[in-house]
Amino acid sequence: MITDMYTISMIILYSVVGAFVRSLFGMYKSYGKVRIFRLNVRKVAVEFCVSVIIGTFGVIILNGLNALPIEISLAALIGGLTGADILNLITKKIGLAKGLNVMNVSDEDVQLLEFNDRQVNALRYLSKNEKITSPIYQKLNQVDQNAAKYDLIQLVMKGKLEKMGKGRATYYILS
Amino acid sequence: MLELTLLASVSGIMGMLVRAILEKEKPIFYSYHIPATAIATGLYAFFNYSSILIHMSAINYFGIFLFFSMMGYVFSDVLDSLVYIFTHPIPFRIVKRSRGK
Repeated sequence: MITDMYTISMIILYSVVGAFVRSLFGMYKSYGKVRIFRLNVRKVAVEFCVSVIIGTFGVIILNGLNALPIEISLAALIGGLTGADILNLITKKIGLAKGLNVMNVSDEDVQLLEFNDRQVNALRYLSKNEKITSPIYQKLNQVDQNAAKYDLIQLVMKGKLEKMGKGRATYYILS
Repeated sequence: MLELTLLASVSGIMGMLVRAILEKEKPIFYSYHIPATAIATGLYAFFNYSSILIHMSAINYFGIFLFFSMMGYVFSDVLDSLVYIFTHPIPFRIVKRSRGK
């Protein structure tokens, strides 16, 4: 059983390093995926603390059970790195995710964040239908021809849609 | 030694698969994460054979399995993050100062 303060402080230190690296990677991914990046300090703090706690106590308990096959520093580092994921799994399973606000948004939601509401409507329409035309877009979003044309071109430029046909026969499909 | 290496590789792959299923990864993800995880965990077990405590007890084998599966999980997570960082570097945003007329 681990009793001396030096070993415990080393375990905590390695857990903190693991949790810090995990938080940095998570923040980088969020920054890369979302156009308007807003740091959720509460979420980061909860994930960080849980990672440290899981890393520290996991190693102490496994060591107490004599089930830890390797050196405690690496085990604490790994515990710190996986702590947040374990929390996410538990909260998702029990249904606490919404209250604790520790769940990541889905990739689909993240992708849709860079489009406006009208474009999101069009993309949802295209998930059920094969193609969309400018008149349909205008009716769907109650906008004029110019706004519809601008939005559709933006979607083509961002690689979400593909333009087919010419002139009055122009229609758009998902690329 | 080879048994431990094989056990470590299989445990690492299982940890990686758990993460891949949870994250709903694409098939291309498996093509390079499975060999990379197997090699990394296997090499770690091979070169640290002397420092890995092996008793003929169920809880020790459970500990080895748990540790290497978590190692595979973490290795896959870190590798995925590193690949993401290299493929998506932070864009350098140039702010142009507008000139008044």
